[in-house]
Amino acid sequence: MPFSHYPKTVGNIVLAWVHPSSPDVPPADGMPDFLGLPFSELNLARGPLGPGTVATGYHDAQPFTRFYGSIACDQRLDVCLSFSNDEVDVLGRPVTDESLPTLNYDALGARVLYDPTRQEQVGKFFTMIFGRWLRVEVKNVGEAETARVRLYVRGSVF
Amino acid sequence: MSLTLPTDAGEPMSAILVATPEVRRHSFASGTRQVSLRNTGTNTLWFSFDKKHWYDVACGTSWDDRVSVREVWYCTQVGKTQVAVIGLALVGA
Repeated sequence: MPFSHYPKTVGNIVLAWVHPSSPDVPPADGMPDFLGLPFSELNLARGPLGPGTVATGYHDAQPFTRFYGSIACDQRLDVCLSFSNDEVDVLGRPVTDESLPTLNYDALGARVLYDPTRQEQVGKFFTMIFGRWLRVEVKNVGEAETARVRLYVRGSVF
Repeated sequence: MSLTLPTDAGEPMSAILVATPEVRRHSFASGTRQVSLRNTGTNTLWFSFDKKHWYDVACGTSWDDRVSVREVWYCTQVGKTQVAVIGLALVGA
């Protein structure tokens, strides 16, 4: 079978925390659904992130060669992108959404100590992939809960 | 001059699907002469013509071949992905 054409993604957001976020708007009549799905389904933010609180997201890293993105927040954040090379879970079963948090994330790809007073220096990140599965941890290391967060993680196929 | 369609023409049966770890079935309105898939999401798509033999389509890639089927099964291993599928039906005589 003729697998396959050269990959090129259109939508490449793999994880996002955006708060506050824009409302979902359905596609206009007669126009394509450019987003593919409502942004609220991508957005992992469920409200402000309290001091010391960690938000975590997971995604298959295999479809991509590298990850990049941006951070903007009114509080200091500790953002870590780590990778696991576990092919099965602790019971030997294929990895599922449920078992992703139980894997061993031994490879640190990138760590950003985000400080809103140093946006130009720390408002971005980039990492190659070092494993099969990606974990992104976002910890509020500031003094107060976040009033605004924009953190996007995108995957690149090249 | 009479208008004739090429012999490989067909009526498109298009759908946008969302694949998740739950195996789902997509049925075409009639038998196909060709099926084209494009994985427009960010996770690997798995699809099957018989729910026994499975094929993977990486995100951002597409697959097509001349197959005569009435349905396909599809899922992901983790997460979700979007799929554009076009089945070509025979043009009626």
